[in-house]
Amino acid sequence: MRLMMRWIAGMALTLAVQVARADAPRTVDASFSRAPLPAGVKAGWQHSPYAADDCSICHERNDRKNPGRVAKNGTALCLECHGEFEALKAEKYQHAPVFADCMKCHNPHESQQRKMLHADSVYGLCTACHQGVKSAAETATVKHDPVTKGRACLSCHNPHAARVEKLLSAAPFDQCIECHSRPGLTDDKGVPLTNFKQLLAENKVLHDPVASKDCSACHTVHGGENFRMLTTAYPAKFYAPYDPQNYALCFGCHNDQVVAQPETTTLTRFRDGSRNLHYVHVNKAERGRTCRACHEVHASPYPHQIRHAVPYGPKNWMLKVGYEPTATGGQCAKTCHDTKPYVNRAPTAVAR
Amino acid sequence: MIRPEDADAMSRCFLRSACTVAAVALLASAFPASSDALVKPGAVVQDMTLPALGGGAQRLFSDAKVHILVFFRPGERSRETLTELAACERDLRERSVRIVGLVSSSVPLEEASTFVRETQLQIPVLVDEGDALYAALEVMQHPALVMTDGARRVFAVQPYMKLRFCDLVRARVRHQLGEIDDVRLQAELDPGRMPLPSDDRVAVARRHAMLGRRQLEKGNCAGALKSFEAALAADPTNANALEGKRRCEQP
Repeated sequence: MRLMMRWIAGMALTLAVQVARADAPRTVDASFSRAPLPAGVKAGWQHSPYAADDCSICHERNDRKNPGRVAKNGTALCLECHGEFEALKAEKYQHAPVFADCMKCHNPHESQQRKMLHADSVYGLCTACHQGVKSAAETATVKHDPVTKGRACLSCHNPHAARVEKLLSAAPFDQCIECHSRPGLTDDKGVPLTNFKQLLAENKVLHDPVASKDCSACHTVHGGENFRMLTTAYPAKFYAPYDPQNYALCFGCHNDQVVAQPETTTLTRFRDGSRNLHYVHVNKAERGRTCRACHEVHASPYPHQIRHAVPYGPKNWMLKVGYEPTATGGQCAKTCHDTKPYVNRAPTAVAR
Repeated sequence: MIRPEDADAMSRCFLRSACTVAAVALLASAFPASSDALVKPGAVVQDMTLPALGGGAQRLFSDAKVHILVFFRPGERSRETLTELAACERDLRERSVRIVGLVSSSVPLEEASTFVRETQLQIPVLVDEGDALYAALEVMQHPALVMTDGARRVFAVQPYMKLRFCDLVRARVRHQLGEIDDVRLQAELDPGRMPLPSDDRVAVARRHAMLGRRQLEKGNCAGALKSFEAALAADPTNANALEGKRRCEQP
């Protein structure tokens, strides 16, 4: 009874979080004061004309207490000096506020933030409008530190214009690898994270999303509910009872029938005649071998990203997979089991 | 006595079977019955006639200069891809491009029709009987785009992408049609890093020099000199700053 109540409470909480996220508007139109900071508040960054007491550069008069109206409205005034922003109009993806009103993001006089940005942080400024991101980042089970700390959004996004959608400063992988190639990078539990520069230097057979530089295909970047911010479930262990739901990440692209069909000559080359060996290995009620038992997810030295070795058992002994292609199919040398070749060039006529 | 509806069903069944046999035969001649029939750029896809989702049959290829064969199945990623492709298709409509959807015969036809309709992608969709083409090309995943030139030669295989999907498809098509060159294609495939304004030292110098010029015009040489020096700190070659500084320092 207690277990059931806990389950109901858990489901209710999950549902409440989902409803809250669904109700939160993705983007709103926030606004900030454009006046100088209040007296006594120290500015971290001042606009050069304001710092030089040259109010007439922008205003009617050179009178700090009563400068009058600005000479031009909107971005036209800013572009008189900041003319290089005109070129951004030719870029494929533009941030709407940039060409509507620079002061949506910048205080024209001074601020405590670099570049005279409003709010108390880059994250605070961006999420004043982008509330969907704020919600995702703060309610995520697995958080991504670059989203909320340090340069925050500017770690990955160009706030003015970009050549990659979502205003990314570069292709996703090129962004991610800037951090995910630093020696000693760990997660919040101290577990070392993969050094991708090193991984890809040593392993040339790339999973399609990696080859496409599209980390977002599998990872939610602002924060997520799954291990390593994966978009959906992926088995964490070597063995698992077969349930297609547990392989939602892989089956998002890969055909689930490759594991569901005991016989096939079309779905996979991992077959002995028509006997589907994916089915044999994976589709078990108890000790199904999960995808990670044989396949690397990012890159491998072998075709189909077959692993060289896989962590096995409580002490993570590296169990060699021992895969070798053969003239008529392939085989795995004796490790998990005796060496067993398979032939995939003709349908088998013999039922096993 | 055969009822008309049974005769219809039989003839559809015969047509499907005939198409399958023809497809396999044509494919067999293009790809040997071996395990190495993995589609690669340069491989030629044989033309064939396949059943169409809306009824009847259609040839896979037309006289278009580019063909995009879209292998899909009902599911979230195929939905995203087909929806993106609907936007791409509008851009590509004026070009010699034929986009053809391919769905497995194992997917109920009504489900496939509804799925395509919901994505608003308006393309012919053909039924890949027994996954014959999918297997022969070893597509191995859904969604996937196999892109061929006018000679039915594969020039690109585009898997699912969360981001930049349409940009890359458009770039590949435009490159194949000769509208953009290799350099431009590479720029799309690998866009590099977009700098922030503060990364552009020349632009930073220009701003400071412009402020200095305006201060000088108002007779504020002290302020102007600071601005010119800030400009030269960012870009020692800024001519306006050098000239302005010289004018301010004149006795």
